[in-house]
Amino acid sequence: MILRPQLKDFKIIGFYLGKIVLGLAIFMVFPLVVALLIGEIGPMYDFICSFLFCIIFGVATHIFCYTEEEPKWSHGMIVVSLAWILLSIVGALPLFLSGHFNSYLDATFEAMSGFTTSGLSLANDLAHMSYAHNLWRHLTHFIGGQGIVVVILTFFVRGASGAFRLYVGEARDERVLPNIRQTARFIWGVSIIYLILGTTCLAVVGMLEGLSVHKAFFHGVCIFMAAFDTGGFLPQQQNALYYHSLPLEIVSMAIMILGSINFRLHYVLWTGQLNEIRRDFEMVTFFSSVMFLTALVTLGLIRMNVYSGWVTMFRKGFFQVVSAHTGTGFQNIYPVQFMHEWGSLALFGIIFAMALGGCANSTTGGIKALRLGVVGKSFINDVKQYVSPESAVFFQKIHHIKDMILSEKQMRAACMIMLAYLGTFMIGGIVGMLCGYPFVESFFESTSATANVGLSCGITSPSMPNILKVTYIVQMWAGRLEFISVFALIGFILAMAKGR
Amino acid sequence: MILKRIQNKSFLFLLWLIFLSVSAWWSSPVWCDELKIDKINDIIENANDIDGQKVTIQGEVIGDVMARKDHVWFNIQDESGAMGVWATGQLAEQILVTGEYSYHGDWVEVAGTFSKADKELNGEVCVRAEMVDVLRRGHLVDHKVNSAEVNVALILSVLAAALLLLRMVIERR
Repeated sequence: MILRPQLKDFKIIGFYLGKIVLGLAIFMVFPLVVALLIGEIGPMYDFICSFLFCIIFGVATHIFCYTEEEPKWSHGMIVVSLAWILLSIVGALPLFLSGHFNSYLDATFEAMSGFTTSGLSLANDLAHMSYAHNLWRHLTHFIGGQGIVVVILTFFVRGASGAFRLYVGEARDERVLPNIRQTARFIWGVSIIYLILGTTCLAVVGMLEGLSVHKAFFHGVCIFMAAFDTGGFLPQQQNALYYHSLPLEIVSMAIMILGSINFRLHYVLWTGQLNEIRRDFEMVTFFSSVMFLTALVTLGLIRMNVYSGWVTMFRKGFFQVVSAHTGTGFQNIYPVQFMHEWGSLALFGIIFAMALGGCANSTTGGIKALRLGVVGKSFINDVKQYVSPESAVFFQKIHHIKDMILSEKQMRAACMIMLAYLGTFMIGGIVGMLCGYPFVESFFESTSATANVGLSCGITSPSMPNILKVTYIVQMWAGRLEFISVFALIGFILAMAKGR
Repeated sequence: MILKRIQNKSFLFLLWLIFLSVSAWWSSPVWCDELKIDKINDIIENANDIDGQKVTIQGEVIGDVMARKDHVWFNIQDESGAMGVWATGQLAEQILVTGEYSYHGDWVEVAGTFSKADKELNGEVCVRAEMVDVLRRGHLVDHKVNSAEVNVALILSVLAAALLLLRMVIERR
């Protein structure tokens, strides 16, 4: 029997949603201060209005939905799934007010793309966008990548068990430290240290490559947030092409890889156990996959005779594989060049890399290296079982932070999420084709949206049909939450309609 | 009978050939006019066809002029897209204003050779400029503050203050 949700359930959900929107308001202060300091008065009012709207929403929900009950598992899942939608709608407010978007839907698309660290963009004329708005675009990557819920855990949630339920709902099922609040603080602490180091490094390279000092720092912080959080936005429409800089691309690649590593592994590395990189099953799977797909893409490019010289081949092929595999979506070629020049084999490699994604419990999207490895292991296990005597029993052991034996449940869960991703890639592809786009382009863009990558072959533009914009918004959202919270929300809606 | 069948097959084969020829003719690029490069996006869309050819493009200089030894990189944009330009420092000297939030950049005409992956420049998609001409000087943009937005901000701040006060009263009780 399905139970119809009661008023107290709505109160819990509303109460935590309000806290999350209040958390968003805190982040809006950064672009607001930037706008004030550099005299961008119009953008400053955009952020004042948006900030006040968040405060009103947050305080109103606190008054009307006040509860001292801790959220249960279902509440955690529903809060998280609704929070990402709400954040995108509210986070779109300053973007829409900037005047760089054709409609509120486009601004919501941009915000969802930012928060989910996808990087697909519908902005018009980025070259003339204010620094404050551009900073906000990149800040959405940072907020979403580190997990907005993690922020709430750090500042607002009192009970540890309720906090963990929210944390898991955001597709992060591994605690870095025993205490969930310590985990959240570790994630933010590490991210801020990386932010300072990465920004400085990028700014120095930017200055050496001819950017003025203040622009080098602005671009540095934007590139860092987009690369470390495997986002994909950049301050200019040409994306990575704008800089014409191989050194900047190399530094970006290092940051992208850093961002796609499991946060638990970051912790282990921070404690000095550097050999874990070589031993960790997920890292081995990830790097093997990057190497295999780089070889495949290079073969495809050689076959099509696209680039002459190994430097160019490395710069274009390897960069795009790393960008796709880590789920970042930086592009150092024009979107149409994928379709016009790269050929089927290289394109297949890129689509495959996008679908796989980086490591679990990181900022990347996609199926994830851990699941790919687990599914591979379970396949080998099954084959062994079939060719051996019936009484034989096999175990699959992996080393992921610590030695562990793969359980049937883990293998089934990995297969289920993988199937959900494949199904979503397909649905988006079909909608793309229904809108009149060719097969390969439709699947390329659909995979990019679902796996939160942000590479585009040219479909994503302000002129694409609204139905496709909505489809990609849903795909980015579902892909970021890895479906479980989405299923919980669907269950909740069904319970509202059919429960007793 | 057999002859008739062969004849039929030949006829079908002939029909198939005609179908293929018509399809090929229909999709043939012969239909296309000579490549017309008006916009930057035309170059990007037809990169394979015009790789290594001379092009002339116009656009606003955006962002930064990035000095690299005796050359510079700058980017120009029109309503269709943006393109990188590799020019000598001397050619780029005349660019004074670049486009950003507060400025409309210089509107320039660039003539040069387009490369879809310039080998000497590590595979850059760019135009190697032979001529840069400033057609229209860039200028400061006066962004006016929207008075309606200021009013909305005032109303929202009053509302937010009222709600915060209400919350404080409720919590004290």
